Amino acid sequence: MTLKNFYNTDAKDRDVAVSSRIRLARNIEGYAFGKRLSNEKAAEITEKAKQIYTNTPAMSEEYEFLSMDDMSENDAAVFAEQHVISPEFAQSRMPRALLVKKDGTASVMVNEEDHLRIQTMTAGFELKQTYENADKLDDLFEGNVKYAFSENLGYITHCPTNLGTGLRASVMVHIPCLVATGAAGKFINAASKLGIAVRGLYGEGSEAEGCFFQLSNQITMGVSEGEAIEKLESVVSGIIDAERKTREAMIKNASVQLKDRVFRSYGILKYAYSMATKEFMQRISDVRLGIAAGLITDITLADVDYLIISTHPAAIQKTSSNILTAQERDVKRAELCRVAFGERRSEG
Amino acid sequence: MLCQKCNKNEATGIIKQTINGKTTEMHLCAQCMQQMGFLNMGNLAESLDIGKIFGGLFNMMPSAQITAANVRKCKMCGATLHDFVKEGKAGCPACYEEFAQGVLPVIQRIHGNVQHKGKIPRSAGGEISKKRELKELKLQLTKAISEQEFEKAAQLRDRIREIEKENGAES
Repeated sequence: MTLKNFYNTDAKDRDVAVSSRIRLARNIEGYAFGKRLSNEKAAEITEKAKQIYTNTPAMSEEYEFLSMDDMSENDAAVFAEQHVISPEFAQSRMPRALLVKKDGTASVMVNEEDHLRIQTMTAGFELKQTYENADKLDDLFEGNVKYAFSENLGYITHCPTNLGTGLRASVMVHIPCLVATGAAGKFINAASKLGIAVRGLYGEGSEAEGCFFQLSNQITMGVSEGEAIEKLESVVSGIIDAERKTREAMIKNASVQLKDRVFRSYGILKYAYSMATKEFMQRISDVRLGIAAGLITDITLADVDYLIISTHPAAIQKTSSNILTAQERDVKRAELCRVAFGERRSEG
Repeated sequence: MLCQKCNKNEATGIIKQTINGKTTEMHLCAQCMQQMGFLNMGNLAESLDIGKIFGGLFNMMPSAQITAANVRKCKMCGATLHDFVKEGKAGCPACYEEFAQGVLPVIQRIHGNVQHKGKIPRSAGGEISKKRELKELKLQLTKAISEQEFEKAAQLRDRIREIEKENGAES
């Protein structure tokens, strides 16, 4: 599987929205969950998934069927870094399998928390189409296995928080200007009051590192798929709009400060010989903003988003046959950055 | 600052979560962060066990109710309501029906609703729409009788019998 194509598509609202994802939780009638599912029964489920894969021509052409038990820990960690699978799934020891579309836009985790976790993803802000893709994949499985479903509770899931539609729609946004002006907190609170969860990972000490947040729906019961998606869409649209307005205002009123921050980071990424993850996230966030604001033109948003997933620890480890230390990874990371930034320039 | 989870290693990151308006902050070391399922960037919904957080809702269930139901085991997987509460998760699909009384109020608290709205699998769809039709026909029948529209009532009765016969034949 390669994600390069995934990140290189023309994506809607990419200046703020990095990617859109849909996850459907599905379970098969007659099989227990989690620790109550024996290894033999779990293997039966992976076998069913394999049969569906083999017997569906469109699927065997477009997807790969991977047994997680045969996969190295580092390869599993790379998939987790790319958000193709969850970190728990990467580490679980139950018989598991992964169906993954070769272009990286869809995957099915077999025996994650639920028997089937159908996931689709699109670069940029594109929830409806992403849902339609997941819906089609869901129909395909539904035609071959009997889902645990109840008229009242909808799709039955291991955790009660997913009952009903089993749908988790999410959008990853990059909002450096809302963070810089302190407005991000207000948006996070407002979104969470509307039943939208906002999560972000901050680096040590400062809240400004990275500035990537994920917004997703919380409620899955009593709300249809369409309604849940529309609600998330309206919240994300509001945030995109606010981030853009703040960017415009910053370009107008704090042009020098903004340019200094953006190009300082650009220079460091282009010339540094050691780059820790923490600094990388800060710098790449600044550069991403610089591209979105039209200040940097020799590297694209797609290049940056791809660089981010290719410089995570497991992805860097994958490029080497020796086990790398954190310091050695930092050197490799800097090298990848120099290549990404340098190559573009020589082309342009 | 030391990691707030293991209290051993130096904390290298802060995890902030805002759920339902409540923000919590934790300083963690890389090891604990990984253990808790967080990656070093843009951790996604999938990497956080929402169940563990919402699982707390089960604690709001009257303890007497839990103790009383402790003995009964799910016919399919052998889990008890106590297991369901403790784990915050069902043992198998049948647990939801088995322990409906104890679990439905919790689902109501989580989602504000206990009635699914949205996609229905095609296989289950036929059955469900028949059930819905039957319910509707019975309502119409009562109405027709009360309004003394006996001819209409007879037609409705025949249709109801037809559907019930079909359902009976299937099961």
